[in-house]
Amino acid sequence: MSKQSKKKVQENFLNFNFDISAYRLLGRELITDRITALFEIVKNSYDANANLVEIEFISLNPLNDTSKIIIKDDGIGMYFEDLRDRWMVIGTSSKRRNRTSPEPYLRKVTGKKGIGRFAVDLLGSKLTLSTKRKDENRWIYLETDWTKYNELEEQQLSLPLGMEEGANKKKDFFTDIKNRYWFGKNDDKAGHGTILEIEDINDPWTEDDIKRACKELARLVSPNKGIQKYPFNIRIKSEYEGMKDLEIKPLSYIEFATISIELKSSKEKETQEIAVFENGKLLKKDTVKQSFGLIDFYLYYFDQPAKRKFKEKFNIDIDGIKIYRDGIITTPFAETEADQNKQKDILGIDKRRYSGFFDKINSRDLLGFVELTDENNAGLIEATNRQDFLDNKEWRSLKDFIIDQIHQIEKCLKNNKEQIRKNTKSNLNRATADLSGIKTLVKEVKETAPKELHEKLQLIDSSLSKLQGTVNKSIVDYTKLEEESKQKESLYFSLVSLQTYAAMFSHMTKHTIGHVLRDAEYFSSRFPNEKLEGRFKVISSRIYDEFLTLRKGVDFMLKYAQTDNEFEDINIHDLINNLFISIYKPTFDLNHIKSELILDDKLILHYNKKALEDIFDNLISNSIKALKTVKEGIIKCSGVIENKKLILKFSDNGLGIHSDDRFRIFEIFFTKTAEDGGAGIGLYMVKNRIEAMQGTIEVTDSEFKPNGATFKIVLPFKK
Amino acid sequence: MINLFLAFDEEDGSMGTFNQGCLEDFETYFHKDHPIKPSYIRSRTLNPVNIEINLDRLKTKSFIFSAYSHGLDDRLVIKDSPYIDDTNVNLFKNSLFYTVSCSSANILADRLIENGCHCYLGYKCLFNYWDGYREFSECANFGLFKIFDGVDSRGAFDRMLEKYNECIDRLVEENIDGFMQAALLRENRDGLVHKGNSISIKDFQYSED
Amino acid sequence: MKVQVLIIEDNLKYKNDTLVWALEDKFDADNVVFEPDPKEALDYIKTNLDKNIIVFLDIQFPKGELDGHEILAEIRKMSELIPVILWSGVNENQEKFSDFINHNAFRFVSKTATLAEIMPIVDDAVSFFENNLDNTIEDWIIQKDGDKDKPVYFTGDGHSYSLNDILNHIRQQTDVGKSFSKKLNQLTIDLLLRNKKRLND
Repeated sequence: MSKQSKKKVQENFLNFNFDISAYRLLGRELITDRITALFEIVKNSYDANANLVEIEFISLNPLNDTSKIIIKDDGIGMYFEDLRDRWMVIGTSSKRRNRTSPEPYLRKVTGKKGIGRFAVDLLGSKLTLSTKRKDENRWIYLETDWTKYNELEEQQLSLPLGMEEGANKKKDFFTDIKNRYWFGKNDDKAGHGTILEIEDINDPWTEDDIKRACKELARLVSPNKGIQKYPFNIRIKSEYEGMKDLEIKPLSYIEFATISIELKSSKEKETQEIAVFENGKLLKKDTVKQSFGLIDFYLYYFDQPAKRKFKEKFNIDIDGIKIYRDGIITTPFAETEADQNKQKDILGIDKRRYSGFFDKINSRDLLGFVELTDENNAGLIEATNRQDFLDNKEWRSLKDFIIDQIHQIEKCLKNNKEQIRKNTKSNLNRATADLSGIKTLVKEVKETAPKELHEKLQLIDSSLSKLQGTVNKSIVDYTKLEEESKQKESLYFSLVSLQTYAAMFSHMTKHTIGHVLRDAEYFSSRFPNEKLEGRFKVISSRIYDEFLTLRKGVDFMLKYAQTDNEFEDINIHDLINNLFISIYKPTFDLNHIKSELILDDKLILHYNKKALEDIFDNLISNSIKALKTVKEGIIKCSGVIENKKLILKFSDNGLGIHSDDRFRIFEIFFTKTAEDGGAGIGLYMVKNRIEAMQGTIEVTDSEFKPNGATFKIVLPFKK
Repeated sequence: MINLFLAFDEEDGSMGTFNQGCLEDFETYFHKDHPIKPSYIRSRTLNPVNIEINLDRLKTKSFIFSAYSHGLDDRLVIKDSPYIDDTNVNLFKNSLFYTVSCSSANILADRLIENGCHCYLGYKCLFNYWDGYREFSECANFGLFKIFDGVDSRGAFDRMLEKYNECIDRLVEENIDGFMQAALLRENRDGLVHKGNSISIKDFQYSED
Repeated sequence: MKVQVLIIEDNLKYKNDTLVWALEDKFDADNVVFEPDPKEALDYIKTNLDKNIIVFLDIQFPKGELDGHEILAEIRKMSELIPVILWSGVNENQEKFSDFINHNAFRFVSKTATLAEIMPIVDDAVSFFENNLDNTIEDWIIQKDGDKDKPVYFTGDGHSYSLNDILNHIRQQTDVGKSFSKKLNQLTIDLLLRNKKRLND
């Protein structure tokens, strides 16, 4: 880019093809700071199939005449026509129409349409652009002086709004400002790419500034480079230590992670690794290729101490899971969002309900990298608004997969906590046992020790007693804590059931009130009246019936306030029947649901009544939701005794359960009915309670095939 | 003697009956011994050519022209085709124009006056008629009869309004059943318009010689 | 004024509801009809258009058959002059507004409302029959004898209307239909003004 060539060649000019408002709108509003500007320029290079982008910061602190920023890439470059018809024109549709870069790279375009060039003016006011295509022999040079545009902008803004006739002539348009261009020598056969040389730098760049730029740019590229077919690298050159010639590498996060999961896929075997928490361990298993295609997934969990250390070392926040395609970050994650709170949680990690309970992880605890490729994951498509992915089956499936993996980590954490608890408890117990042992030893020693030592030994003995007391108290305290925790959990579950039940109960009450109110009104306004005797009789018995039903409902509700563990003999048939015929009847009527109960009415189960009610309450609730769109709904419960086991089948003819979900529906917080108020707790609780009774529950073939769902419950039977 | 043309579209599908009724009223009024012999133009001959022939003959003599047919803002029509409009308004120089057609007061009246018509009496709205109620035709004809009686056109206009009011009140008081018809009469009344100069029958009279 | 009440409700439990009793007390048992089948109910309205009928309509009909909104629409196709009181146990808000706007529901009554709240609304519906001009015109036409299909009203723009035509226009509340009550109103104003003038003279 020698300045000599300027004098040799004839002077030619190109003009920008847009007006001031467009310029301001696009440039200023979309790119707000110089880091973003750098980001956009680098994205442009990526979109131009560059393998290497070099950013050189020359003499920028303090600013002087030699201050420069040079951004150089080895991408495909531009023809003169491209320069004239695209670079100089606003909103050129090349990126709008072509969402991929040219062959053979076919990278999904990351840069914002047509604003890269405005990014430049945020860095400095003079730009010399040089560009060359491989099949051209000479470089093209273009000079843009943004200060001219700034002056013009000032001028235009200062003109009165009502334009007088003459004023038009005085005003220049942006399109009038000339940008000089010229050609280099006809001697370069092999070179290609685009170089932006920026001078008249706006603000100085300190070492910190450049470090920050490096950090931001690091987010562009995935840390897991294995997959990239056509690599993309960014290098920084500056005068500062450690950044003299620095390849921007994503930081290695693994060293601080509390739990790491690295899942790979195999193209030959068409298998996908998944993580499963089983038997106390977090294992990797192979499973079939999922609908979203083969991916590599790196997931790192950081607990509080780990987070602290991470922030100290890298000074960036742990900010959740991001998706990369062929090594480059995908557009929904590509915007530099200074405020982490504003970043959209498109994977729905934090949207899961009741976060905070039971070892829930949110996106501030995780770093994750989902590695896609164009080849393997064509079904995952970024939305044209660049804020999200297209909501298709593959995307939903991917989200489920990611959430599930997070859940496995949660299970692992929970288990760890349990272990610690158990260990603590057993350690305490051991401690007390050890203390007893020591006490006995001391006693023995006392018997054979000389008299002078007796006092000391006595002291030791009483200290030991005190210690023992402390330890025992700790055990008691600890046990109490455990109890409380269980109680809270139990209460929590009860609360959730209560929520669904409360809605139904209010409904029931409202109906009761409705009837009773008018009946009472009619009576009080017309009594006495011989002619209406018949009606009065009907009214009084109606009121009585309504209140009876209401009382049953209230009784049922009251039970929820008590967390008792009492066991009693329960008539299963009556229990379920009560639910069907009394408690749930209004709801069934309203939703046109018929209930069926086929069960020996002499079967007695010895258990906790509330727990049993909870189970069926939840199953019924579940079925009602599934029957929302069915004209004639059926809920059926039937049971037989086989080999000392009670085998119950609970079915409905509603939406049914997808075979993929057969196991997952019992997982906590798994819900497909969030809109209906489903918290994802019901079936989890059901399974828990049943398993607490030493029973099992599973989804079997629906009795109402092809619709509906059937749960098969097996309970040990002792009578 | 006066030149008097009475045009009726008595064959019209909707207003035909009404027009026929009015025609008969006029025929009764101008019985065979009446000094004035009107020229009747009925549906068959109600067309621009015939009108031109009839009016041309008069040269510049004054005449009274009455038209009972459909109309629009700027024309009178029979079976949707105009027989008096911009193209022949000039024929009505020196005339008194009396019509029971819809809307012609809005534009046609002005055209007529611009072209030398002395006076226009007609309606600026849609004309209503309810079968079986003589009030509609009585009111519609009243003005013209008053002019024949010697009342000047302005006076005839006022008398028409009075007549309308009379009928309205009578319908409403006598017969609760007549309120609908009264409402329609009122609409007709409010649509009645007098444009141009107030002239009287004297201005149209001439002696036989 | 003879008024009938038609209750369109599929839950037979409501047949002996106190509201029905109260309506029977007010209008006589013969004039209160309880019809659980929507199609039958619509037929009933069709064959009794010349009567003053107040309709109580339960919005929550079973899915699959005509639902309450569709029934309302069907009633409106027959006449805009039938007051339809929407009766519902569900949360009102959404239902209320869309039906009011789209199909001119008369009022909205909750299934848990008291008689003290409901009966004034019924009274309003009766007033509607008595005072609403379109209803008056409708009644006037209905009680007329003779051939109602013969054209009697002609306008200068070539339109002709029989009594039944006018009846339909009024029931459908077309522009022409609406113009009749407008003309009557204008007549009333005119009479008042002229009377005033006469009194002043």
